[in-house]
Amino acid sequence: MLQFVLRRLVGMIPILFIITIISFLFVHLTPGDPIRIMYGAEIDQETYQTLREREGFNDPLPVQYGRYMVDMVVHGDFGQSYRTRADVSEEVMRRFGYTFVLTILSMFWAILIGVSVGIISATKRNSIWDRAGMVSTITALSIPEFWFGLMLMQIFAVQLGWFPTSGAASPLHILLPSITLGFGVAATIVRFTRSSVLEVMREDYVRTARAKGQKERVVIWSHVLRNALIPVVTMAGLQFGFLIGGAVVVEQVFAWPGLGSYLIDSILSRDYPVIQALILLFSLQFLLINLIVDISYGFLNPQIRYD
Amino acid sequence: MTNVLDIKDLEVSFKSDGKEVKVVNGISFSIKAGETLGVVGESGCGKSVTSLSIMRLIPSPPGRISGGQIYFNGENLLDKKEREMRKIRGNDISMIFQEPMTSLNPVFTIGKQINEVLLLHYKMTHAEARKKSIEMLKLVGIPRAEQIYDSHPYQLSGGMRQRVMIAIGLACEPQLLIADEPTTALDVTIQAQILDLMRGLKEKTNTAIMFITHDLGVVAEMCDRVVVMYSGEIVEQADVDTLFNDPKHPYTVGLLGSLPKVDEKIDRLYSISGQVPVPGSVEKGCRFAGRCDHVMPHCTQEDPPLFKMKDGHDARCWLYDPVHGRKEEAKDGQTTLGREGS
Amino acid sequence: MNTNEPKSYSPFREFLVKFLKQKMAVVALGVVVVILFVGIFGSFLAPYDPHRPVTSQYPEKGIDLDQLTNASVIVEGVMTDGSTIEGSEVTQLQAESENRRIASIRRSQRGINVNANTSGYTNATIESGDVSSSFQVVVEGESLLEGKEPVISRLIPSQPEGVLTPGDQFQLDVLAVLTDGEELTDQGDIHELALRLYETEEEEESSGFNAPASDAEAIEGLHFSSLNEEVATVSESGEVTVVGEGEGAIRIQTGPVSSVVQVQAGAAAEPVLAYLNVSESNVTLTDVYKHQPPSSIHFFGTDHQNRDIFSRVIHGTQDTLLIGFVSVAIGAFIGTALGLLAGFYGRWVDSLVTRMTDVLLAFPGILLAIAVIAFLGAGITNIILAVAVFTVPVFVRIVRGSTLALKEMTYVEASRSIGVRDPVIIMRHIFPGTLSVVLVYLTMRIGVAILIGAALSFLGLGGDITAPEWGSMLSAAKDNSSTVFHATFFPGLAIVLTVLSFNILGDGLRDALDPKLKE
Repeated sequence: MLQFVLRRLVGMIPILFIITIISFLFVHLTPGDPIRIMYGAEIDQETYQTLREREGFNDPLPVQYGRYMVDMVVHGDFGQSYRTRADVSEEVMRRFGYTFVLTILSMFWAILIGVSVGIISATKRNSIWDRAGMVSTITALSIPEFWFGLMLMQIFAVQLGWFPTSGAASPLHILLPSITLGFGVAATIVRFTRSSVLEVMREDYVRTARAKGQKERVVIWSHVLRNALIPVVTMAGLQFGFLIGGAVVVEQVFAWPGLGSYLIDSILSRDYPVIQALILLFSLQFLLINLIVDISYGFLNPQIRYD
Repeated sequence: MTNVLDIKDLEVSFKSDGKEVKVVNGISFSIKAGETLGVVGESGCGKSVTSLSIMRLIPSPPGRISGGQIYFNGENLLDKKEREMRKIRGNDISMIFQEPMTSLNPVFTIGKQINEVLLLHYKMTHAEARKKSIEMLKLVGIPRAEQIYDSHPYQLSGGMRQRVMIAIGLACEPQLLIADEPTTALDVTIQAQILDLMRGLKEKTNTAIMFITHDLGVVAEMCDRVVVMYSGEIVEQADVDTLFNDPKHPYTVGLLGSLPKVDEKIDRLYSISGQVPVPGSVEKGCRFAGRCDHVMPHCTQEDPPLFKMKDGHDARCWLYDPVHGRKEEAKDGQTTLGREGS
Repeated sequence: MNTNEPKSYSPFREFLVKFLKQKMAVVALGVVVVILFVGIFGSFLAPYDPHRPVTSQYPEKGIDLDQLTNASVIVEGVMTDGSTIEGSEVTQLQAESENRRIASIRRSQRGINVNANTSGYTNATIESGDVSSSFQVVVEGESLLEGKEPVISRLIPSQPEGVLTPGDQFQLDVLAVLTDGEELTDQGDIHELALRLYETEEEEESSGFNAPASDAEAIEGLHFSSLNEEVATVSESGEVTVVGEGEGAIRIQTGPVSSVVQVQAGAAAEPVLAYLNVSESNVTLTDVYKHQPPSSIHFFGTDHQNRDIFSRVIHGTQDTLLIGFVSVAIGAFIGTALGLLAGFYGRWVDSLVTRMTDVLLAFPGILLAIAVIAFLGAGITNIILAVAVFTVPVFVRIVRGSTLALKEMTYVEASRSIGVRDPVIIMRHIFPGTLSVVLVYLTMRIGVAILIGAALSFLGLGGDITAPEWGSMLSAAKDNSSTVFHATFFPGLAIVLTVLSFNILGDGLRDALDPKLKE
């Protein structure tokens, strides 16, 4: 088990290495001169050259890459924002918590709603509930997150005044953004849970459980769900990555001070060190999530052994 | 001896494409205490549906029991509430299924799955259940029972899993065990072991067994009496010796003819031509008429009733009708149906 | 005519029959056709120019601006004897708006003129001597009409009949008409309402004092006062006692509204003005310069720059569909080609392509697209490219899968064995086999592409934020007012409708073409 985790972690290193190269080259291949972005377009040629020398842009690329890696790995230094001159790693750390809490809570909603509606749809197959569930999921999958967020904000924050509109000043602020972010994933989980439960309900061992005289409720909640939820967990784990993608949009809608809005602001102002750091961070996140999914899969399914 | 199970005119229908089709069409038979009844027929003849009806486990929708009675110890199971049925399932009547590979829940340990049925029907502590489960595992001939108790199904072979299924089936000492093709999915040596085990257990526990199979060899080995089913109907029933020595229905004759025999040298085994009709496709007349070598004009006109051959031996064939049968049979010059293919 | 000739098997006919069975999908197809039509002919269908404020377009459309911003209220004076006089005959008629920023009011020939300035609501009072009435003006637009409730428009007293003599006592009856037309007859109710409506003003006036000033107390609730104490006195509950001869009058007042009851003891006298009647006690106007709400001339209202949202949505269809179609077309083309090659040739081609695909698929589409935009810069072309990039791996995967299956088919092996060249085998025998899957995914991915495209332009990565593109419209609407519902609602609804239609259509195609694809 521990060996498996270690092996997977070691296996991540080459991928991360490639990603560092990509994110490093990002700055050097994209249009726009970092010096001009940092110090404005009006500086004269002499100053420009001095600054270029000072910031190390005249060194050969491998040297620059080496310095970038040493700074990052040894000192945990991701450079400074062109725009605010602030330390990128500090800013990222500060904002990471916001995005983390937002995605976790969204996932909580998504699983809560997704799994329960999925189970109801599957066990009451072809009933009015099932149909309503299916129609709502395909609709939910067609609604852009940002619009859904705006509508929630309009109705619950502006018109009814139940929730604050935007920002992150109180715990109540997270409610609308997390629901917005969670609902699309919830729809995916509903569909997936439903088909998974339906599939398991046709299995022979479910019939065995019934033949033992087991209550239908126990048959569903114990025999069926333990099996049906294995693929759901995997899928939900993978959806986590997509949740982070969605967070970029939702954070923008609700002015949530997480990494997503940081990324967009940085892209719009070509703040490359920030973009660089965020690409790296997001990639790392996906890799870790995949690892966690694989591990949790083993806990649920005794047939998987880590070798 | 009293009848443990008495089925009277059982009808089961399934709905497909908005149309209801009878897959079991008015069958009646009974099982005495301690008796082993073989139910034989090709796949799709309604054997498994009949067994699931006794457990009231027909998936509904699309299926439903549309008529008849199932008396278990004199009480009609079809009148029981779901709650009462749950007390009977696994306790008074238990069932072993065809697919040992998929009939055990992959995520629970073997022990947990045997305990489940014990804890449902007996007032037991977990420790007692564990003791009884290990006892059951030993009873069905599983070595290292304590170790297997904590194993997961995927760690066991097919034969072992079927032994576990039998252990689950017998754990609550049922009066009736329904074995739905318990050996079909196993290879021949394992098959023999499981049959030996079942026979041995039957002698020990005196449980009545309803043994569903399409394998006449297994029937000869296991059963006291045999019911032959064809397309949702019983076409012949008799005790096992009578059936093998003096089969009356052309279908039974055909089935027996398709068995290889040790004492005869033949090039090809006999096979019954054609296929089992799709349920609901035969509108009138005998369902076997289309495949029968002895078909008479009347066969396609009217569904034959069961004709009594002698006590405990019935056959559903117009050949034995005093009006339609004898006459035409006489023309043929035949008195008994020979075993085809010999 | 009914021929029993067996029809030759046609996969297309079978597909058609299966497809037509799915009513939802057929409806979705209809909607898609309409959307496509709108996308192509949008510029002819839009009633307004989507780039200019509507107010500048009113003259050419023949819409009179004044009709929308102006309303006239006819005033009528009701005398104590029940007769009426026209507004022009009412002496010293004065009109005033509580909040001139929202609506201004001035006298006109027959009554008064109301002119909308900006969105919101206000109360207006008209006054002539001792009598006054009020009405409400609502200017629809971006402001929330929070706290708006009907106020008392006028008080209609019943005049005592006949000649009164000193010592007479009678009870005043008064009917209050509210701005929403409701009538209150019970004095207690009127009093309660008046207390509630004009309470805040009291508090403001009395701020700093522990007890309300006695002056303020005087006009709290329903208040009666005698205008000539020598003729008649009145109690707090409206009990009038005639104390002397002459011309007397009682003034009934709630907040700014007041009426007069004539108390005439002794000789008859000229009737005086009892109260003022207005033709409309609730005037609704529109703020035409910004955020007009949906109406018969602007179905979806107007936006922060006063542009017709309906026209913009119609115009935006083209850009939105363009993003959806072009990006998916590019992605599907590259993806299908790579998938065919990877599936057909296997070995290193396959491992290279699959590895790339896996990496791309590991990232959520939107982040991938954002990364591409970060690289290429903002703009609609780059959005299309970005969406295409994350569409490629989806097609690679499915086409590779079915190519692998088709490669093993006997007819492919047969053509190989007779020496047909690889490109021919791929194009003739394998590609047509993948077509049904590709078609299903094309339809389903268009929905996703539109969603991501809209999200990107919502994030401001579409370059031109003023363009009539659904995502940018939402972005602009969000930035400009969080209180206007229609500006965000309709463009979003257009996205939902479009994506939903493509999704349902995709589902239907999938079920009809290949039920095995169903997850």
